[in-house]
Amino acid sequence: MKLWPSYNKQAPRVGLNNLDLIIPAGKTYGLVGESGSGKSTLALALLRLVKLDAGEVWINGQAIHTLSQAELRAQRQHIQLIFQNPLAALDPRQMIDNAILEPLNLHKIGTAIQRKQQLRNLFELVGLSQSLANRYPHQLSGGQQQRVMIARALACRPSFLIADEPVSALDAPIQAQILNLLRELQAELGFTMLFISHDLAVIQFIADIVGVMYQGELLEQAENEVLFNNPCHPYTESLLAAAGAGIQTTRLNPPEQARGKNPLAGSCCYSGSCLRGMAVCSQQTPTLRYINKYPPHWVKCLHYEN
Amino acid sequence: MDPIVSIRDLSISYPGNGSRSAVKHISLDILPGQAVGLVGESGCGKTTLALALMGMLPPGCDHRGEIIIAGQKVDFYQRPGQPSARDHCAMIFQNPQTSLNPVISVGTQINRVIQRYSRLKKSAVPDRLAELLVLVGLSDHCRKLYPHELSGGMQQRVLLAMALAREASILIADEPTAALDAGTRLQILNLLKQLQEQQKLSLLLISHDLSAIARVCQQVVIVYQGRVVEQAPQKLIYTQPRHPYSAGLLAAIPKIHPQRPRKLQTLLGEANHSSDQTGCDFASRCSRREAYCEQQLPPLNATLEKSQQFACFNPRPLPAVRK
Repeated sequence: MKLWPSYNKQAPRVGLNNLDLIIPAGKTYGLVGESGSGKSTLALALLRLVKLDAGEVWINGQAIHTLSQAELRAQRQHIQLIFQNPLAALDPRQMIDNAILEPLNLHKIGTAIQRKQQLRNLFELVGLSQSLANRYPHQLSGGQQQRVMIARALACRPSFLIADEPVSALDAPIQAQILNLLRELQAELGFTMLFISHDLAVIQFIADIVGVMYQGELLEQAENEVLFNNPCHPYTESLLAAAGAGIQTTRLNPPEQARGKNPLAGSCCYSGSCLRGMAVCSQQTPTLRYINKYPPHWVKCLHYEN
Repeated sequence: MDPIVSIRDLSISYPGNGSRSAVKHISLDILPGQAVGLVGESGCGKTTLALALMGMLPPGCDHRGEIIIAGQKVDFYQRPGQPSARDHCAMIFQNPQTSLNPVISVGTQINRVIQRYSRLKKSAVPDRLAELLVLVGLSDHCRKLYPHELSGGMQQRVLLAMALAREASILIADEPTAALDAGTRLQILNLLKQLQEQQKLSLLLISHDLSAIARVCQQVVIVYQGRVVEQAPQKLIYTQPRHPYSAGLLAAIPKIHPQRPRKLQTLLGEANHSSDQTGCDFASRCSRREAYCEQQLPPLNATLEKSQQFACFNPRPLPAVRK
């Protein structure tokens, strides 16, 4: 699978900028970055819910960027989304069983009896009690709502699942339950997943490959163990230092610093806030390149360009 | 030091909810200048407690016990315009957008609070406004903007400025960062801590996020289904939680591990809100459960030093003392 959207709006700070990323089938790609770094834009771009200015998106060998609207709709049963706020994503006047069945009805998959069977399987799969089938979304707890969203996303047996901050609205114990569930489901069903989060600890648990985004650019990309044991980009280092400091610290990671000066065109996008900045960083734009082939480790930083 | 807020054996139940109470026999003290954090999962009664403090309970609630703020008893159904215990309190809410008037500039909104509650001359009001904006870290041109022109973090700063303009000695913050994203969340928490220290405010911070509480509060109270299960200074809660629920909450906070974990530790199940339980509310999810836990309600015990209180028959052992 190859994903290569590149999407540039008028203001160069929003959107995505020359982003390349590849997600191998059956793996989880964890995308981490602060808010406004373009993580969600990428998710939308993959589904063509925003317009691409340039670039290509390939999912399952399909050139998503060239499809017509009808073809796109047919493809979307293979690509499903889970959102951050389940209550906002569910129809408040639709009962749970209908909400989960809706994608099957829309894509006309299976007969009525098969759909009913599938519904029962889905309830079991995500750990929901059958007795909740005739409830409305507001009658469920946050964790149950998110389980409904997962069941609905899995209803069409998608090969690619995009999860955009699926656990950030939940209490900590429920958050851990949902993360465990997602990993079990992936092992069982074998789908590919793009998991978006601002939380490095969540990403470390769920992702096989990790990409670090900043202002619409991918700054570092490597396998989970490589990235967490040997972070190379100064931005990744500072993120890890802030997260690793743990909950005891009273003040950490002043985000003012991360949101530093707006860098000039033709400079490294992180040069305004970089602690390891050099003079050349404000004059040259780094490119994302291998610093290590096996295991693959990509970094976009002028420190690694020679 | 005498507590500025004293909650005594408070129970509240909503109409139509039968015998199920939202808040059960909670006793809690806040000392002047102290930051107290109230933690619990959604639906555990945190917000009900905050509303009771402000005298804003919805009509028809059944309540027992009392709240005393600065020596004055709180009237749970406060009518507006009368002097009351509420005059000592200011409150900020979860969603700043719904707390601000959309058709009036934020400067005017803060001004109105200053004019109403401070004894300043009219000519001094603009100076006070400028001072407040600096305190909460907003630039001066923000006063002319309307709420929709501000980001969530900036809106929450405006509400903090209004709370300070109230010149109250107690600030109640109900999930002030729940609607904000991660970066802004840290900024607002740091600001809360800074203001609390500078202005010597007493703060009650209500949150489901233990790590947020850790940044700001000296004293932490953990609530499960309307009951206090553990209450201790911040340091003790994080290093030696005694109640299994506190320990479970702590363990569930995502952390970066030296090795990628196979499974995250978490509490089993979800809080069930049935009212027919006689024993400990937490028994059905507890890993240290004994037969008697389901028959009897554990009282809130104190350790020898009395700094850490917990309601559990079979608490986690203290960590061995290192020599």
